Amino acid sequence: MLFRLTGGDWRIILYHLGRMLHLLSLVFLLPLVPALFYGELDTLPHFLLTSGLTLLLATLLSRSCQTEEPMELKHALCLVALAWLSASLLASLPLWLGGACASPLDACFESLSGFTGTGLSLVTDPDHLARSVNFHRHLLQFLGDGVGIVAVSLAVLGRTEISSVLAFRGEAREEGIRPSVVRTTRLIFGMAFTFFLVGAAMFTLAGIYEGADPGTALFDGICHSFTGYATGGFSPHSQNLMYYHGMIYEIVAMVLMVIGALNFNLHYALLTGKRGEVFRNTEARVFFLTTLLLGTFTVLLLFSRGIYSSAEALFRRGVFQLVSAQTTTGFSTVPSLHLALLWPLPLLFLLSLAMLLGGCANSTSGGIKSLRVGILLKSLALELRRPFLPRSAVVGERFHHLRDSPLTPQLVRGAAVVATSYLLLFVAGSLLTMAYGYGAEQAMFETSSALSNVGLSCGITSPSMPVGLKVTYMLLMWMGRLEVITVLVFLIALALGLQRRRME
Amino acid sequence: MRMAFRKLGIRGFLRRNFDFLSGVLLEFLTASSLLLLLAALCFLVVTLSSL
Repeated sequence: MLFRLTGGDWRIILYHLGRMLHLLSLVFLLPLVPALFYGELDTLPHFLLTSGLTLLLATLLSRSCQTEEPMELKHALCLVALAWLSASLLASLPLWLGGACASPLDACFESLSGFTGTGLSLVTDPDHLARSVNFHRHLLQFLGDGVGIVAVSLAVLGRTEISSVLAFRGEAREEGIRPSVVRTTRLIFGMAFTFFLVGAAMFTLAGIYEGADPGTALFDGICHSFTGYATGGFSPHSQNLMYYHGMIYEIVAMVLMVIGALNFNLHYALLTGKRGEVFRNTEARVFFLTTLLLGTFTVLLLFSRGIYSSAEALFRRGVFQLVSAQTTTGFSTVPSLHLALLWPLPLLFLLSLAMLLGGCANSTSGGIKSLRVGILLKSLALELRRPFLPRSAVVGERFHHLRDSPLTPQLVRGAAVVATSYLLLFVAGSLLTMAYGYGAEQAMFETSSALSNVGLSCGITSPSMPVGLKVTYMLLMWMGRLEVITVLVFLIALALGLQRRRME
Repeated sequence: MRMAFRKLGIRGFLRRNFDFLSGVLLEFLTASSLLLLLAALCFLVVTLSSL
């Protein structure tokens, strides 16, 4: 028997949604700083209107649905799913009003792509966009994917620990670094901000070295650091990182992407003196090994087909794209048409696989995640070993993730459920894209890019793509970011609510 | 130079946050070493093919 969400349940969800939107209304004021600094006074009303509307909605929700009832897991999952939708809807306003996107749907696609850290873009001309609007796009990725806005807002505003704990789980970050989730989210924000500052400084210096004027280099550095650490992939330039056309700039981006794809717990262990963890951690090992393995295949394929003949081109194009795909960032050094038309077909499948595998759990990256891949591989090894062992033998696998842990059936089941849901969505998304007349390899590439929140494109994503496909990719981005289950629980709760209403 | 470091409090800051700062450095080195391996691979492939 399934429990249906009652009016009281929805009150809890909407009350916490209102509290989250309070913080978001402040966040929407941040682009006022670049707007005033660069004298873009025409964009000021857009941000003020967005912030005002968000504040109004937040006040209405938190006042009308005020409740002292404690939050449960079902509330948190629905809250997170709803929060990401409403935040994206509200954040799309400055993009539409500022003329960044041609239609409200495109603006919603762009802001959802930002919040989920995907990076697929429908902005027609980012190079000539107001800097404040560009700052807003990049900030969305940093807050949504870099720090996880829902858990952070509850942690910052919340007096109750439990709501933050549950929202933390809803946002696909199951493990706490510290015993207190409020402290954990604050710590995550601190780490993210440190890496952002270091990244921005490195990008700025690299930009100046590549010949950009210091003002542009600083602005681009801030934007690229926001999206590089958040493994988002937005850029203030339509050519993405090809705009700089410099190896130093690309190396800085790759380093930041890899750091962004590592587990927060691993960051914490390294930053508190546990240096050996990076070598012993099963997840880090799987991530580094798959990157090396897929990188080797990429380089060999590109070289053997004669696409690139120098080591520098192989590294700056092939390795960069692979690292960008595996860390689910979406920065690009190869035009999307080159990917679709010039790169060999097996490489598109390989990049799709890298995107689906993704980075580490509890990081800013998407995909199935290396920890789950490691658990499933160890489980597979155990099953292959079992027939060769005596019947009386008690066999088990262990893995190291901050501490040595046994491979329990629950862990394997959890990893298998998420991996299966990703693969089912991948198949469904690819079939739908093919139904619109695109080739299988392009459909699989673009679907895995949207589902794993990557942002690499082989040319399908553009303002002129079919509306149905835009909605499909929006759903994939939303479900992929929240690791499917959260969104499914929300949709089931909605469906059960509608069913009850119909029965009454 | 030493006096300036002490006066500005940089030395104290570095000493207090040694674990954190060296951790940040280690993270950058770890990420760089992965890229270095991949760069070496590109170089190796091109060199071996020309032999």
